[in-house]
Amino acid sequence: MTREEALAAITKALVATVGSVDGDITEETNLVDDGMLDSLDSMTFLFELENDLGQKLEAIDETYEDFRVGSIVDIVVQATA
Amino acid sequence: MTVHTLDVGLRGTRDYIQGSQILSRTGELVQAASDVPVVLVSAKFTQITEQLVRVALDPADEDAGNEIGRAQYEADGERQTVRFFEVAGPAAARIDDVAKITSGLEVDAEHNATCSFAIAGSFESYLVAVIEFVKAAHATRGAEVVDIWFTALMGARLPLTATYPAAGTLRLTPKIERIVDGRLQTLGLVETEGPGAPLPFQICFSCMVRA
Repeated sequence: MTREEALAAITKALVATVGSVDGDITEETNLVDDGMLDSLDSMTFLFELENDLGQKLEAIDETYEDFRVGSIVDIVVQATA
Repeated sequence: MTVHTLDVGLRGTRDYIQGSQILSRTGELVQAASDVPVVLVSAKFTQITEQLVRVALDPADEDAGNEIGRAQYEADGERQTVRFFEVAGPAAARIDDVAKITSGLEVDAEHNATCSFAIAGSFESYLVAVIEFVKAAHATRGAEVVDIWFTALMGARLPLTATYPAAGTLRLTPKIERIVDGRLQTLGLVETEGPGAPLPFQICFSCMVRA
């Protein structure tokens, strides 16, 4: 999966979680720090993302805290390589 | 004015108002105002309370106290978001406990769980069974896992007026786990087997893991 495709998958999971997104989602966006997801939403977001990708993102364990989109893109690209 | 104080109470020895009571009493209000069948789509609780609970059915309603959660119901394709507030004052009245309605809990090493249930067939009895089951499954993780709370339900299509299976099987498949502010948060997929069983949905719980 390319970075663009990973970004699209992340945006899709975000929309599935919160309903709609104002503005563009870029690799600099931080989904938690920028107020798009609270801790409960982040669970749903990860569920939607893994569901859409059809695989578990092993790099995102229970202690994972980095919700910068670029970091998640890295993980998705690596997991789907 | 679409703010209502819900008829909820502290069941048995519990020191909190059950989410199932809040969602059921609210569902009755939402269904009563609709000509078509209503389903519960999602719910999210950010705080537990032992006090009475008010629900604001209209987004235009002013806040009615300290917000403790939200839920979304859907009727004929139209979604309605409601907000829950705890009512300042003394604790809610105590009400009688109900018998356990799940049995035969089995949990494997990956925390996949199943159980049987026997319920009255109502929305509330089904929700009580699901929460009782998932809570019991979490409790099997060990004595160090305490304060196990139902916090959210997503991706659901739970009819408020349909008849749920009087007996059947529940299955929990863990999907996501995170540690946030020292508490373990879990998201699992709930599947139901039985005549007229609802579609699968996601459920979130939060618990403390003592060192």
